[in-house]
Amino acid sequence: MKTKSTWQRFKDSYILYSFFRDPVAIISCVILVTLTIVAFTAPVSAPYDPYDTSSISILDAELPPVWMDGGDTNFLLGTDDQGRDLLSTMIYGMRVSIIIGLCAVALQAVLGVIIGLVAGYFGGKLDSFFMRLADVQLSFSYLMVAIFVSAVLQAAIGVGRFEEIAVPFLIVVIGLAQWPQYARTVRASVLAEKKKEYVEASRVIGLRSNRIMWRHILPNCLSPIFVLSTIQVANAIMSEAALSFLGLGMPPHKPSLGSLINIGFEYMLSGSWWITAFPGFLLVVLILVINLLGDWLRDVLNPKLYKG
Amino acid sequence: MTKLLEVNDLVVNFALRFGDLTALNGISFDVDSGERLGLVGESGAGKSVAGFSIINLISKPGYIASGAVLFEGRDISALSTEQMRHIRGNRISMIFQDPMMTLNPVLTIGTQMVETLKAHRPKISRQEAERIALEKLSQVYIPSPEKRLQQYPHEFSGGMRQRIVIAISLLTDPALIIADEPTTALDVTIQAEIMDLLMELCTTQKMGLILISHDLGVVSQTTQKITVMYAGKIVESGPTHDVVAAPKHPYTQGLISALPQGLHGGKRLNQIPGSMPNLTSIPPGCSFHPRCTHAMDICIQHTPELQTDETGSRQVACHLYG
Repeated sequence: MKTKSTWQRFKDSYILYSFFRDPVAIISCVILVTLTIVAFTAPVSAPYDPYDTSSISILDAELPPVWMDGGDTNFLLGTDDQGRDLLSTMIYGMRVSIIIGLCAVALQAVLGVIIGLVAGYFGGKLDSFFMRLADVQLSFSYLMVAIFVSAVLQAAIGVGRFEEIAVPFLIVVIGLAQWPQYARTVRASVLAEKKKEYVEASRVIGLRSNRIMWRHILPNCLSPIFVLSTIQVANAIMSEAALSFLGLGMPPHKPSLGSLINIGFEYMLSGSWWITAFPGFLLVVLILVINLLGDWLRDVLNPKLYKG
Repeated sequence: MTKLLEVNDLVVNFALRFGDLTALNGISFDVDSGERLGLVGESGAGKSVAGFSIINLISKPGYIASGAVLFEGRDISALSTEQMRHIRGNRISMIFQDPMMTLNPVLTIGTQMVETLKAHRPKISRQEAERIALEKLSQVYIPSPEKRLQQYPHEFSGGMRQRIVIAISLLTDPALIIADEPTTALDVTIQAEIMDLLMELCTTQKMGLILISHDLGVVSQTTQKITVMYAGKIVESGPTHDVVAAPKHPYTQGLISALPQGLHGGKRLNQIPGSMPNLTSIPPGCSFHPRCTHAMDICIQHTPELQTDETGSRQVACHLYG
C-alpha cells in the first residue's frame, strides 16, 4: 500500500462522507460559498460601483425593484435614498460585513487561544487572573462599551477621520469583546487534555513546555475551536450589523449590511421597504447558513453528542 | 567505579494541607549498565513515585525532601529544569503502562519520533531524524517501518503501540530505561514478546533497565536484581534468583506464595490478608506487622532497619533476622 497523499486522506475522511450525507450542510455550504465569492469579487460581480459618486444620480433615488410599478430594468432590486443600485450596494456591503466578521474572529481566536492555552496549561495565579478578567469583561455589555468608545473617539478625532478608521475600529471592538468565549473554551479543553498520559510522556521525553502546549495540546483542542469559530463569525457579523445599525459602524457612503438596513429604516414607512428588507434578508441568510454549517460541524466533530 | 544510577536514602514527601505525607521513606538502590533491576510491590507501595523521582518529575505537590539520585556519578535530583531536560528522554527514558494513552492521538508517529530527536539535537536534519526513527522501528521489529511512520496511533494494535513507545524511548540511545508496568495493559502473549524485546535491547545496547511491576512472575523472569517495596520502604532486596528461591521477609514470602504457578490444581490461591495501609496512617514499628503471620511484640515498637546478610548481596528489613 502506498502512503496516502493529503488529498486522498481528505477524500476518504469521515468529514467529507458525512458532509455528502447531509443535505442541509450541502445547501448551506453552496449558499455560503456563492455569497462569499460574489462578495469578494464585488467589482466584477456587482453591476455598478456604489463607491463611485460620479455614476450615481440622485434622480434615481428610491426606485422600487424591477417587478414593481415604476421599477427600472437597470436596477434589479431598486435603488436606495441616494440613487445607488441596491443590489450592488448590498454586494459591496456584504463584503465589508464578511471582512469585519472574519478579521474580528481571527483577533478573538488569537487572543483567546493564547490566553486560554497559557491559563489552562500553567494554571495557578495566571489562570485565576485571566479567568477573572474574562468574568469582568463579560459582565459589561460589549454594545455599551462600543458605544462609549466610539462616542469618545468620534469626539476626539472628528467624525470624518473616524469614518476612515471605521473598519479596523469595528474589528478591534468586536474582537476584544469576545475573546473570553475562546479563552474559556480552550482552557476547558486544555485542562482535560493536560491530564492525559501523552502530555506526561512528552514531558518525560524532555520537550519544552512551549512545544508541549502548541504542538501536542493545541491540536487536540481544535474541534471545539472550529465549532466555536463558525458560530463566532456569525455573531461578529451580527454585532457589526447591530453597531452599524446604531450609527456607530460603517458610514452611509461605505455601507455594510447593517448600515444599509439603518439607512432604509428611515424610508420604511414612506413605502420604500426594499432598502431595509433586502439587506436584512441577505443578512439573515448569511448568518443562518453559517450557523447551520456550525451545527453540522459540531455534530461531526463531537461524536459523543447525543443526536435525537 | 561509579554505578550508572545510584539512589541514596531518597525521601519523597507530598505536601498536603494537614502536613507532609511521606511516600518514599529513605529508599536506596543502584543499577549498572546492562543491568536489569525489578521494583516490586503492591499498588501504592511507591514504586511509580520512585521511578518518577529519578527523573525529577513527581507530580505536584510531591517533592524530594532529602537524599540523592546519582546518575553517572552526578547528583541529578537538584538540577535546574533546563539541565534536567537534557537528561530526560535523552539519557534516561521512561516507558509507561498504557500505550493507548502515551502517544499523541493527532500526530503521526513519524512526527512524534522526529520531534523527540529534534528536542535533544536541535541541529539534526529531518532526513537524518527519519533515518534514525526507521532504524529504531526495525530494532523493535515493526514490519515495514517506512509505511508505519506515516500512520496515526489509532492504526496500531496495543502491542505494536508499546513497541513504538519503546522505539521512541530508544531514539536518543539512552543509558537507562525506566519501564513503569510496561506490560500491564497488554495480554499475556504480547507481554512475553515485549519483555523479551526489552531484555534483548538491554543486552545488546548495554542499557540499564528499571522494571517497575506488581507482577512478581514477570520480574523474576526478566531481572537480575529485585527490590521489594512496602508502604514507601524497601523490605527486601538482592539477586532475583536468590530472593525468589528463598524469600526472607514475610511480605516477599507472601507475594511469592500468592503466585498461582506454585500451586497444584484444586486448591485456593494463597493471599496476604488485609491490604496496604494508607500512607496517612502507617502503623508504628514495622508497617507490615498488622498483616504479618510472624508478628512479634518488637515489630509494633521498633521499625526494623534494612540489614545486609552474611553473603553481602542480600538485604532484608525484618526483626526475624535481627
